[in-house]
Amino acid sequence: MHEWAIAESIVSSLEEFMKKHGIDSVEKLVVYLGELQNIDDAVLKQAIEIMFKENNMVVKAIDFRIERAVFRCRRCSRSWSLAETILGEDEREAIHFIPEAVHSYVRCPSCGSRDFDIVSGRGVRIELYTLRTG
Amino acid sequence: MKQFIGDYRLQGALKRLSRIKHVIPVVSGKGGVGKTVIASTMALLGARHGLHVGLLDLDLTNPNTHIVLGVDTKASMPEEEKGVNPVNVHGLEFMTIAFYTGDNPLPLRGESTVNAMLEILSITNWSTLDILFVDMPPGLRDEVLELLRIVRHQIPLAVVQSSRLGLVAAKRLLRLLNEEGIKQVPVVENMVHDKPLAKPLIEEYDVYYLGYVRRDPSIDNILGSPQRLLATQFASDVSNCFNKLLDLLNL
Repeated sequence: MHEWAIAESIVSSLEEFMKKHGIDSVEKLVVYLGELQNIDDAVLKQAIEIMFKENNMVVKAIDFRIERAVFRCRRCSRSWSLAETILGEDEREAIHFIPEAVHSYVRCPSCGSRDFDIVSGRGVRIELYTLRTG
Repeated sequence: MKQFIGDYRLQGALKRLSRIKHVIPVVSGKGGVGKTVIASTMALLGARHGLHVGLLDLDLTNPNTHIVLGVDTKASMPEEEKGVNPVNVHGLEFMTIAFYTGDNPLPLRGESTVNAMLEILSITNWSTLDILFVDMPPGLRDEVLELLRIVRHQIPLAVVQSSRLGLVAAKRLLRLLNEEGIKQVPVVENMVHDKPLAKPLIEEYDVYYLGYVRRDPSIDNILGSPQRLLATQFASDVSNCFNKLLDLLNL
């Protein structure tokens, strides 16, 4: 599953950061899941938890939050949501792997331009909370 | 306390690229110098030589290596397995964004380019490779700068068009690469008319001149057929350059 590759990147990145800063345990990891990439949160959570255990990493809580995907046209400034776009199965699959593929399949509902920004809800991003030190 | 840990995909990308002995982005100062065909031909020659070779197309808005290799991107997709496995084709491991975008336009601005690139690098499961050739877009823009930033064990190979304008662009590129700490930049002079020009004109840079490739207008008609491509005078010239590259890499 593609989610395992994402989990592996998150865990290695966290492990590296904790090692570098001498952090023994993390209070909370917040994982933001962009609606556009359509990641399976159950699979991602399971993979992350298994890898934390394998690497003896202490992360007290993992919080998943969905971010709605919003686009804004560079040509006409129209904003729209993912719910307003029509995508086929293969197109959703392509965007699941590489969210920027959306520019190949979606155009502005007002002016038809492909020159738009993904304002929010693109893919996965993380935030890390530790106890205040010093 | 909230901590900033940077882009998580970077570690994934580095881990996956660490299985590769030599990452060779094929770069140029300007467009239309033949990077795609040279990168593809070198990858095919490497596989024929018995090396474990990969080819990655990072020319995100205009991917064309699948056309040179004759790969139908709709018929053969990378399999999903804790990431995605590159497609095995002509003895190579092959990955391109065209598997996901087909021949549709893919307009990307700066940040989106970097995002798409990091996404590909962080999910592609290369095996243990001797060389990964990376077909890059022309110029000194996001893909080239980002790869220079994140991949330490790389040896950019510069394709220089044998012309006055080609040499001006090449000098800008070579100067940048040297300034970024890359020494002995391998150079292939392409599209040579009568005789090669570049070698004495780029001597002031720290380069390793691999040789030159003569202009061969017939190439366009045989793109998509690697066997026919490898039988050309063009491929024979590229092969001479490739052998010198192997010397440089101690392979």
